Amino acid sequence: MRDRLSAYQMKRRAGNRAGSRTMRIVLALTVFVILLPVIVTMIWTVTGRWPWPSMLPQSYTMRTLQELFSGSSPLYEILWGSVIIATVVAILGTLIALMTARATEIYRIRGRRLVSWAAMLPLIVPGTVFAMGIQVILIRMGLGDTVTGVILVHLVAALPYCVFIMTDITAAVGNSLEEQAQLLGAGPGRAFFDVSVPQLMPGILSSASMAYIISYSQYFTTLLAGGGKVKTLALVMVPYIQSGDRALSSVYAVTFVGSALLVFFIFEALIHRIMRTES
Amino acid sequence: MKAHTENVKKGDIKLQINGLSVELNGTVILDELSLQLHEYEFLSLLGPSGCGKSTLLKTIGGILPVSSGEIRLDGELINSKPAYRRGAVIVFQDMRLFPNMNVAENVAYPLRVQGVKKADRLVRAEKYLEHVKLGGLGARRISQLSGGQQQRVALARALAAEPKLLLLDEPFSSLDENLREDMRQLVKDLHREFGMTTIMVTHDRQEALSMADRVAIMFDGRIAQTGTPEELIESPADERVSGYFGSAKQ
Repeated sequence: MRDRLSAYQMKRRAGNRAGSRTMRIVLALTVFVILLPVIVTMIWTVTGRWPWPSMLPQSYTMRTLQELFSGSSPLYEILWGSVIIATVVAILGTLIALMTARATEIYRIRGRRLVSWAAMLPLIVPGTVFAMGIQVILIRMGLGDTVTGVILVHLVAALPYCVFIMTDITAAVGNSLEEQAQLLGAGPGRAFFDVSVPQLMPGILSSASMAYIISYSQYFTTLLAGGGKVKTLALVMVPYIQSGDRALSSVYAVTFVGSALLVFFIFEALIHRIMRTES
Repeated sequence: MKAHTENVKKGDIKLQINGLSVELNGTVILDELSLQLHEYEFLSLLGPSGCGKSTLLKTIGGILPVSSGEIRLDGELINSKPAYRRGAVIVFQDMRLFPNMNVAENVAYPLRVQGVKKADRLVRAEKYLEHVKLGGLGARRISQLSGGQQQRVALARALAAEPKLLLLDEPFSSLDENLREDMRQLVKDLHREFGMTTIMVTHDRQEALSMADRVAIMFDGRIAQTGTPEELIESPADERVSGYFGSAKQ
């Protein structure tokens, strides 16, 4: 939301001519920097041979797509796994973050500074280090090599960001409207959902998207906690990238980005629909 | 001068506050405060800023906890009754309209919570909007209204809840002087029409004296004196009260 706001402000500030020209150059550069690699990657997905210094590939192939759809681990299975895990992490992460934010910002529990600080701890420890420790705990709990274990590890990785986002917006929204709703006769839960949730929605969306993409792109933690038995797109993709098979890496990269975007799109559409039918 | 005071039916005791203390973060805000309010009465709560006026309203409304003492509404002890079951609505000076709802939905919100059907509650919301002279503006967004209009929506919404007690927390302080006069008149008219027992917090002496049946003046978390406007000016209880009214007397 903040990004959208600043983009808007920039647009307004760009009212004078010199400003708008600079903006146009920046915009063109941004498009160039983001879009060009994507286009090149997309061409690579069907490239057979593309030696230097040709502008275009010299031969094309469907080998990569065959591998993608009917390889050793079929795409739909991996995709499904990734999407489910990431969605669960997004929902749980945002819920936990929301409750944490309410506890520290609205109910001002004792030791709230400690809680806020502790929520950020996983950011300090490198993911790989902490994944090794947590794997031992998961195995002891009997959750080694399970989807639940992977979700738990992803949650720990995503939570600092979720808590950060939700704390910010919860503090900004406050509870004055909720109080008003209660005074008008709404029970606490009802007041929260009718009045605060719509205000919190931008934060809920950012937090869920953040958690989703963090879970979606976890490699090492998934490998450790899932023991290679829990397969996600990132897990399957990374070895291809490391092995240097550009065509195959590209096809996975495009699938990765495309599927993440598609899920985001569905998320947003769903939430907009829910919000509209409510009011 | 105050035509409406004569027609007010003096009813039973509506609100009874005995020895009420409220502490926030270890600071005593209300200090064994007592206050009594009759049915249909319009009381102005006057006092310097920081004396605990708003805290008192919030405590009566049920969004701040009572430390000791008792609050009775219609004879019933409501100390630990949650805000949503008390039937005391506060209109805050920052209005607190719900930005995700349009004007009519805001006014209809208390009815929606009570389970009134949509078509029904929107009709009733329109009636309340007409009472505050905003008929036909139900479909507007809150952001499309001026400050004065927003304050009237907040009033209409409070009326729609049909509260036992209407609590106004400096309702006009964010408006400019012309609007304020209109709003005072409107609040008086509404009080006459709906007969709701009302407490209005203000720090504007003239406003308090001209609008209310009775004025309560508050210092440091206690009520220093209550009485009709005449009583307060003619026979102040102590120097603080007379000092406070010094400028209002001429």
